[in-house]
Amino acid sequence: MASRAGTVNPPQKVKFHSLAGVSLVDTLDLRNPKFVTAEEAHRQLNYIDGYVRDPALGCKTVVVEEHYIDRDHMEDHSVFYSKSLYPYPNFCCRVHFFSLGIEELRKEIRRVRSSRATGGEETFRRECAEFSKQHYIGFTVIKPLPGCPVGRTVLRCLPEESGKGHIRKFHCTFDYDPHLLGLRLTVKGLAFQQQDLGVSACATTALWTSLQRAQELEHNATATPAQITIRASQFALPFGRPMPSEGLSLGQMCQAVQSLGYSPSLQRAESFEFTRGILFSSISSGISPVLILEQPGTEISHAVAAAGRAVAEPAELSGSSGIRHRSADLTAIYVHDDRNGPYLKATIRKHKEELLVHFELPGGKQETWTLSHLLIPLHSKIRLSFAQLYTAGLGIVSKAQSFAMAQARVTSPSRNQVTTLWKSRIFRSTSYMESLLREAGGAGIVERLCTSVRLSRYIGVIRILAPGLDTLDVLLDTTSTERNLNCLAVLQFGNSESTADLCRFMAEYYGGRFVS
Amino acid sequence: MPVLKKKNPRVGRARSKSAKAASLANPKFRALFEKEMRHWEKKVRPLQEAARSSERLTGQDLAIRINARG
Repeated sequence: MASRAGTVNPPQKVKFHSLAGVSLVDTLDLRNPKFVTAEEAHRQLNYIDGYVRDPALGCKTVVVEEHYIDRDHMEDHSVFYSKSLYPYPNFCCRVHFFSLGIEELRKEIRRVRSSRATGGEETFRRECAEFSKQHYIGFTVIKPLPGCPVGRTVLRCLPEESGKGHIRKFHCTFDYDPHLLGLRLTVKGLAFQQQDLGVSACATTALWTSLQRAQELEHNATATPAQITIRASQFALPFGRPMPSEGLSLGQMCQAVQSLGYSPSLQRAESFEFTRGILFSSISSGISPVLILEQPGTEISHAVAAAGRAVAEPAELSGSSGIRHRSADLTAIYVHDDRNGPYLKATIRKHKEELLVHFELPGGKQETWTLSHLLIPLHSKIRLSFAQLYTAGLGIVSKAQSFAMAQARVTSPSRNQVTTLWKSRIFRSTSYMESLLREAGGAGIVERLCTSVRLSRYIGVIRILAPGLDTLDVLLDTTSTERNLNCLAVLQFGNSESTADLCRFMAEYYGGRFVS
Repeated sequence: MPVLKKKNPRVGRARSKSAKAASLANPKFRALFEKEMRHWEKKVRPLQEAARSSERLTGQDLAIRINARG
């Protein structure tokens, strides 16, 4: 629209819609695509529709910003869609989900907004955070592509308590802060989007999700799907043209990760126990792994990014003595599957030495895939892979188990079962220390640790819980390598003399400092 | 009023003796610990080997095409 003064901005529209009795597709009045079925094109949107209506989230109202500039779509548009004959717009719309009815929501938004004038900035921030915590479920960007409308989507996760005998933890999520009607909203989640088969297929989209988390850890700008596909196809085109996307090879995925400044740590899923351990460790460390899945009997491979895990509630251990990684209780993981939707539950199953993931999809459909590889984008300073940390951890924990066994034989000969539990994780050293402050006696340990040990930016943490001993952590320098592994410290959480004896032995054996 | 149980001095002595025994300074305990260590180190070796082998990748691994549509 032009005037004598130049261009005239079209008005922005923000509309409130009730979700009662009407689907999200109808609410948004989306066009049906011409050459694919609506069911196929709207599968992800329908999944999101079902997810936000879950009683635990209880979406009642959606607020639609009709004009929204999305960085990912803008870049996809710039490298791909702008060159089409059809004039695809470079803007999207954004849909916010709330658990309040329309009138209550309007009233609440007005109340929070006015708190800035009455209570100052701090009150306003607190009110925004409280409002988000109570009523905000998240947002989805709707792209102007009728065949694949779901763009960047961040939704709140389901609660930790499942009521089904397992506990959900979404370690790979973080806070996103969208703004709406003057409010700064907050939602903790991990971004999801649908594959468009123009700029990205599943490989690009899974990497895009995984890198969101990696980049947040270091406060870097996030990579767009277009950047990932371009970087992946920089040096090799094993399957022809990169766009429209025909998928990527695993080598190309590694190339994209490397060229974006991260280290692609790649593992083949050979042994069930080990693979489950790595999966657990990576998710528990808040580093989203990309799972490469194979469909048995076909040539199809798929990539999904993990956002969280479900662990069985602790039960009494029985049977013979042993060393038990906490991953033995892993029952399921939650993945972003760009073919279906975000936080899709994938149940872990075992078939010989293979790790299978089983999806129960909406509509009663089921799929089982075999995990073939794990691709974990790591900060370039983390040289110690999760596999190497696991290997080192096994050596360390075998000493704790030996001590606990010997102690049990001496002190209570009638006791015939000693099982040592352990976990292996990688943390930013600052986050690790903050987590210690939550534990009893943690403040003193943090002080002693900070004043006596030089820590690397990321540390490998082996946590050991052995019967008859205090909890202990062995800290490893992740900038060192498997052959020249540098032990930083052995931490004792408690004051038992026998644990101190073991810690001193470990500190001397591995060369770290003993802190208690 | 609850009746307080009288402490048995022999039990106390026995416990403190055992606790003293569970120390690496005690050669007998140390020998037992080292024996256990040999056992458990051997026990975890197959898993350590599986972990190492999972990182020995070949060109075949990198050539896998990831192309599921949906």
